[in-house]
Amino acid sequence: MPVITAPQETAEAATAAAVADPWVTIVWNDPVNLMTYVTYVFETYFGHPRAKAEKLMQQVHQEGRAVVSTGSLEKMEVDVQAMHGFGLWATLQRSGQ
Amino acid sequence: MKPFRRTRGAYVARLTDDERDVLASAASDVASMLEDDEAPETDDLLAGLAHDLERPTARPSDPAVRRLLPDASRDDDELAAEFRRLTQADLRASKSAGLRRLEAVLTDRPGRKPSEVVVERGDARTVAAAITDIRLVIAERLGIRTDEQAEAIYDLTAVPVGARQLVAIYGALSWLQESLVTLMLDDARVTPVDGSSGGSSG
Repeated sequence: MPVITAPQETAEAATAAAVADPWVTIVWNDPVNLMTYVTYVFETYFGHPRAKAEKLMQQVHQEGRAVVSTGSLEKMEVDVQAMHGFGLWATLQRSGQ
Repeated sequence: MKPFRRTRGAYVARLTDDERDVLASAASDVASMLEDDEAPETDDLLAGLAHDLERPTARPSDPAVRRLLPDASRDDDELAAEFRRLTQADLRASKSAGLRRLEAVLTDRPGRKPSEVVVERGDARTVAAAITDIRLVIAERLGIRTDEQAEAIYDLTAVPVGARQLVAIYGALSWLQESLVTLMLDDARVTPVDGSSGGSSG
C-alpha cells in the first residue's frame, strides 16, 4: 500500500467527488409552513425515514435552513420545483458554497 | 368547524355553509391571482403576444405571487431566471389546478351530512398544498415575516379591523391543515405514498 498518494490521483478523486454531487437543494425557514407539513413533505417526497425527516425539519426551523438533497443541477431543479409545488421555499446552489 | 377525521377511507371535516363559502372564495381568489398574471385581458393582439412570450416566465411583480413562485437562487439572478423559464408555467398551472380542486372540495357535498367536507386520500396532497398556497398569500398580505409575527396575529386587538377576516381565514386554514396533514402523515408511515419519491436523497 503506497504511503504517499500521487498528487494527480488526489486531484482526480477530488474532481470525481465534485462531479458526483455538485449541487444542493436548500429549504429555508418561513413563518407559515407547519412543522407537520414540512415533515410530511420530507418523508413522502424524498423518502427520508421519520427520524431524518424530523431532524431536517428541526434544522430548517431552528437554524433557518437545511440541505435536503444533493446531486446534478438537473436533479436539483426537479427537487426545487417540487418543493415550490408544496409551497416550501427552496433554492439550489453549488455544493460547498 | 370540526377538524379532519378518517371516515370511510377519506378525510372528512365539518364546516358551516358560511365557512365553506369564505374558504372556497379564498381558494378561488388565489387561483385567479395565478391565472390572471398569466393571461392579460386585452384586445391588443400584439400586446397579448408579447405577454405570452415574456410574462409567464417573468419574475412576478406581486410579492404574494412571488411567494408562490419564489426565486430558485438567492445570489445568481441568471440561474433564477433560467429556472423560471423552465418551470414557472408548469408551477402556475399545477398550483392553479390544485386551488380549483380545493375550491371544488369546499363546494361539493358528497358526504352523508351536508356539513361534511370530504377529501379523498388521492386528493389529500393536492388539497394540503393548495391550503399552504392560500396561507402563504394571506401571510404576505398581513406582513408576516417572522415566527413571532405569525403567533402575534391571533392577538386581534393588535390587528386592524380590515384585516381581521384575513386573520380568521388564516387561522381556520392553519387549524384544518394541521388536522389533515397529521392524518396524512400517520397514513404515509403505515403505507408509503405511492410513486411520490421523485427526489434524490441527500
